[in-house]
Amino acid sequence: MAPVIEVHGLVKAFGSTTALDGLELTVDAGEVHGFLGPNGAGKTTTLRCLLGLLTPDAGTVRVLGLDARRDAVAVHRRMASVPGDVALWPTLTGGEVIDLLGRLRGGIASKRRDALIARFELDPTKRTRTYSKGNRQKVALIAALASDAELLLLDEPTSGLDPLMERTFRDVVREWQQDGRSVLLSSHILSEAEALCDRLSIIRAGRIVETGTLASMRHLTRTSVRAQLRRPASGLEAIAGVHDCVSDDTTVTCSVEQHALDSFLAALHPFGILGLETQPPTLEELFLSHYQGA
Amino acid sequence: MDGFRGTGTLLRLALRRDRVVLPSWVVAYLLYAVGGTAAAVALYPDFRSRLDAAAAVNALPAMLLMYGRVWDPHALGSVAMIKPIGFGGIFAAILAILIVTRHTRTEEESGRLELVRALAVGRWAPVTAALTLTGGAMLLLAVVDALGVTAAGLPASSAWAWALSCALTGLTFAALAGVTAQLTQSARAANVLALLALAASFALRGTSDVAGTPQASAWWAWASPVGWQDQVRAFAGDRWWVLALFPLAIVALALTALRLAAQRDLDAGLLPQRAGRPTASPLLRSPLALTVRLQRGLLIGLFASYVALSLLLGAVASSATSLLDSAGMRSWLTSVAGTSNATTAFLIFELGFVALITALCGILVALRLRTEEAAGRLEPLLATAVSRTRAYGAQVATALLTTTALQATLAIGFRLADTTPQGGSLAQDLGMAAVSLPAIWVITAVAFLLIGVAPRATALAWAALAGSMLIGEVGPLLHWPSLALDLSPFTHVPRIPATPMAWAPEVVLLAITAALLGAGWWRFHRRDLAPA
Repeated sequence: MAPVIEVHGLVKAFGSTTALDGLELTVDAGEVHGFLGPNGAGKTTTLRCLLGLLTPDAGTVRVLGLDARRDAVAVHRRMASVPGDVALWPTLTGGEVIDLLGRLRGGIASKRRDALIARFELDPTKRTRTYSKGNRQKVALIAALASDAELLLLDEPTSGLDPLMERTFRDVVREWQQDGRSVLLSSHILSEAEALCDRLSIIRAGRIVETGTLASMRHLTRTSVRAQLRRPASGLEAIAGVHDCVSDDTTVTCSVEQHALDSFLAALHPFGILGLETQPPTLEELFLSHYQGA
Repeated sequence: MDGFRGTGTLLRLALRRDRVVLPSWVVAYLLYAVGGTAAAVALYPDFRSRLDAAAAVNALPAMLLMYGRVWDPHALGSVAMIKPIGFGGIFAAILAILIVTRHTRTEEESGRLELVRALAVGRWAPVTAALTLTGGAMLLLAVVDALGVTAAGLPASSAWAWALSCALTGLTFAALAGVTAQLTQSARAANVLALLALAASFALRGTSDVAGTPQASAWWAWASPVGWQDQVRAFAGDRWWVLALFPLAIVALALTALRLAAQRDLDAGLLPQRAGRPTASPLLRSPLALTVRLQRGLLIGLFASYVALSLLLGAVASSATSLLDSAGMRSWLTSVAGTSNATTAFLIFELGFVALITALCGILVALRLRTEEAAGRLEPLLATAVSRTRAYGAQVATALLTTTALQATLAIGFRLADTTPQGGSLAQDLGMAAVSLPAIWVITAVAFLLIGVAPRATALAWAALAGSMLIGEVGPLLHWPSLALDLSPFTHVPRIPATPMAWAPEVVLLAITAALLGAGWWRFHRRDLAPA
């Protein structure tokens, strides 16, 4: 099957700043593709190019087999999107905006709309002026998810949602994919991409630095561990898959690959574990360790 | 007092943000007042000409309504300053209202005030800073105006009485805007509320002069700050004591604003909010429908104003005709309107002025497209199956249809209210209103051109309108060369039926409109979206 998104050599500059510098991106039909990068890497600019809202300075942007800029309207009939910073008409209610956006895209299924409003627990009678960021995001999400589109563009869609709503969001995206439809999910939260995506592309300073399946990027999914010990530890760095060890008397912090967690904990045990904190690394930390200067 | 903490810093922030806007307003105001005065002073060189002009103004209810009475027909200032006296306070008040709302409710609505109030800033500080800023701006306005008008050759003490009365009127409405900013949740509603109060004050002043005697206005003039400004009678006796009324109102309103500001929650208004509809109306399914829906309030307001205005003009024309039935009046009418038929002359005179206001409405509607773009709300629209051409076309259609309908409203209302036996027909009045449309559309199309070509400089559309206004109002008085007068599209509008219909200039104006709209569209559908 042909890819739903094909971007080759995309360049976009704003004045003297080059936002995108030869970007390559391919999203296959039926996949949820994660688009990861730190703030300011060019994620939103890329999505705006995919929407045909910006004219590329060089390169080609094809979406669903069509030119994103020239055939924007034809593309938009088959593609829904949720912007990162959702601006809505302050005097319209949430319900009105959902209907309007749906109709302008070419129709909205009112049953699915109502079901989504119930699942996301949105009050559609309130004017959007009074909504919080999370509620504005829900409006845009419901308008997009209620459509018949084949492709969904999501720009940091959960940044304003609470954890419960985030779970609802993940469920809905999985259902979307089960219907054989595709998603491009931009995010700077690695765990979100891990939970949803089949493949990832990582963007940095306007270029894709890595693309592939999660399994092929195992090195990105280290856990950062901070342990409080009875005695100062030694020799931890010798374990394969343990990196960046810093010891401060009886406190030790390391980043540990998934396969090495077991042997790492076993090695800690003799020193007497008083406390243990683990957390998935943030994308910024990964960039610091992997792509610095890339 | 902790409640006022941070006022000084907020004031400096406001000055920083307004460092271009405020001086431009003051300069524009000065040009209007002093330019108009200098031109008018030259117009009335001797005693006789002053008495004639004053008699004409005082005999015409329409003039009394618009500008007020010439209180002393013998005094040069009282005659020459009729327009600055009539509108000086109004313009100052509009400026004051916009400044105060901009620094209070707009900040709150945008969420920036939350950021500021989370710091060591008292709850009275934003209102106090906004009113202090406006007070300073009004003082500056008074000083430059007084000096400017004195330089134009009028008595200094009267010039100060006039300039202070305008500035104090402005400050009164600033304090009122301080109150409306506490009442409503949206900045726009706060502005509308304050401007409605200003319009009501203007109406009180106008009707009190029409209903009054040559010695005094009707009593209700004293219920209106705009009325007080008139009652100062600058250049006609300078009743300084009237100025004492303003501080009373200003203090009372400012204290009310502070009291309300202290009581209410952040982001809350005191007027209730209704729940909206859970689903969209079946009609809301096109960019055109959205455009109309978003500007519904504005459009309803415009049409209501035009209905009221046209009925008023018709009624005034009916009462004016008997007063105008003398040889002296006929020659005066012929000189300003080119016909001696009183009703027709009156309509030509008024339509020429109202066409500028209709052009203003056209710009207001057009620039909404840019407002939407700057606020990032064009992006979700264009992310649906709506092309740039359709979004642009919807706004153009709304602007052109609105201006057309407003002009038609004017003619129909006038015809309904006019009872003079020798008055024209509805067809003639509609024609008289329609001939201005191509010129109105040229100004509107300038706004669309700017939206496409220079989205960050769309405010220049106002300059096009202000230029046309200046050329029409001041140009002929100062005998500007015809090349300069020709720059305004309104110069080319045939004054039917006083002069025969001329199609050529109308066709040219339409062609210019089409060219401007086309150029705007060409850039708009190709350029990147430009956020604010």
